[in-house]
Amino acid sequence: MSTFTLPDTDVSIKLVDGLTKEQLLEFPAFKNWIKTLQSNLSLQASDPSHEFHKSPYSLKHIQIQAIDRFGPRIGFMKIHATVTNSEGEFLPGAIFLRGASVGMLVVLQPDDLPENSQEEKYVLLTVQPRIAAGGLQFVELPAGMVDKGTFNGTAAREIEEELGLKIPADELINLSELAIPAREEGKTEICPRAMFPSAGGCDEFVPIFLHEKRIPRKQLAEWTGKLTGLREEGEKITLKLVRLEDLWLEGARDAKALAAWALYDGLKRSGKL
Amino acid sequence: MAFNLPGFKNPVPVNIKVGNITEGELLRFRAFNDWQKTLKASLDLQQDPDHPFHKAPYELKSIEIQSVDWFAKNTDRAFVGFVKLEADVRNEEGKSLPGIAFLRGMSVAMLMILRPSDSKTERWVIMTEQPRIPAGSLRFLEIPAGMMDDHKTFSGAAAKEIKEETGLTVHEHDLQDLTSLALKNAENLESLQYGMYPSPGGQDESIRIFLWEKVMDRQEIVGLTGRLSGKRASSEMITIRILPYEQLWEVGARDAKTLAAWSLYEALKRSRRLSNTKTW
Repeated sequence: MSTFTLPDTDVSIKLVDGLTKEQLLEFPAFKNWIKTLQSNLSLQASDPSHEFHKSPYSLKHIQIQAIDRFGPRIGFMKIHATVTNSEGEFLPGAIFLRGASVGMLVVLQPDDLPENSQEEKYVLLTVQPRIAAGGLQFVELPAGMVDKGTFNGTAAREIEEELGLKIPADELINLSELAIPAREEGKTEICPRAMFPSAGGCDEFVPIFLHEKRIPRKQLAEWTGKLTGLREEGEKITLKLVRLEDLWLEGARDAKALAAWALYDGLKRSGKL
Repeated sequence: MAFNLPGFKNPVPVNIKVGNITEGELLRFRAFNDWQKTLKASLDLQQDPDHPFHKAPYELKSIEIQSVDWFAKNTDRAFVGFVKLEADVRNEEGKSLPGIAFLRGMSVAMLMILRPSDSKTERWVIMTEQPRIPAGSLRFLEIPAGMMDDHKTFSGAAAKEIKEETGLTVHEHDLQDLTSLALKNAENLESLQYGMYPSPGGQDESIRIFLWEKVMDRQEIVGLTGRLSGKRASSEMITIRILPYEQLWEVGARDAKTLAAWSLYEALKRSRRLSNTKTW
């Protein structure tokens, strides 16, 4: 276990076995988190009206506690950050570090309806084991990553396998960014324009994307039939189609599903979508 | 340190890789206890011939405890706050399930709505703004979160600040449980909590979302708004804010709890499943 100082700072960092300084500094989630935090900490000094200007907090030390690798790549990290001020007050610093992912609201509608009809819209949901939640059939909005121009990950693969539906990045609308303006009145902090599932303990942020598609009614019926029919034995992840107006109910346990319903409804009603 | 987790058919060795928790302390950590009970119940459902995994059921083989965070350390009130573990869950075909879990247990969130007595439609929402170091922010806006204490009252740092700033306390008998209202009539395939799960892929956390809706004199609400919209009192960690309801889904769009609460409130209201607001 070794300790080093974060370059250009007074922050000491204690590593764990199996993690080098270089690996830590290259881990995207760590890089993004520390950059955001340091930028927002610096506002305390530069802004005399900042609520913590008198006794600003500073980052003193980071303890790496555990890492999870997926192959050679670092997937998750558990760390503890010591953030304190001159009055001996500490901010909660236990963090499960995992970086960003995306939620994908896939809305399908038969194409024989008028263009601006809100009728007969359906949403794709995933059903899969989620050991952390203690369930084997947890219903969620599809999750994954958007990189190299498409929606990727287990859910994306399943959607492509089952339905032949690929979701290219240029057919996506970022609902989170539509709701959260780039320039916010009176706001100086930098913060990703995305949903934070659990900001009290985790760095994760999840922009919600929309992929809305009108398809032949016959195809929608085929897909519905396929997904409710017998499934290949033991497949870990399966899909289901639900009515858009029921998304809040069918996905009531899932933060991404509830967020997507809220953003879609809010943006439609306000005319932004 | 290793021991076998009681209650499972085949022994489940638990390997504690850190020096700051004992077997007893781990088993008394409510979140760990709830999580392993829930997981066991979900695994047992595989015995049903209709279960998708019936042919090659998954089994919990072992657990490794990797990190433990204590709260109120070095006091006599110290208690386990978070446990990070990895569970080995696999079937006889060698297929395994991602088993990393950050355990923190259940909490509650409050959608606190104030309605002036002279308007049928106007609504205001009480929010908290505070540092959230994991998000890298010193000013993260959320609906109030915390716990229900032994006196069936909303408690925690946010509740305390709300009481100080507004004089309002939130008691169970004034609440409507939105997550329960939504989920109790849903198709519950497994016995999971009636709560919103922020990040089920990596955390056990579930949040019960409650509605607290009160009609008050407009004067009182104006007074509150005036007091709360000034510059933040220096160095208070949590600041209470009050927001027009129409702005909630946009201004609170970074907070999963806010979007979830808004969805449940709007949907239940539209389907007329919410009771009428109380009047002081």
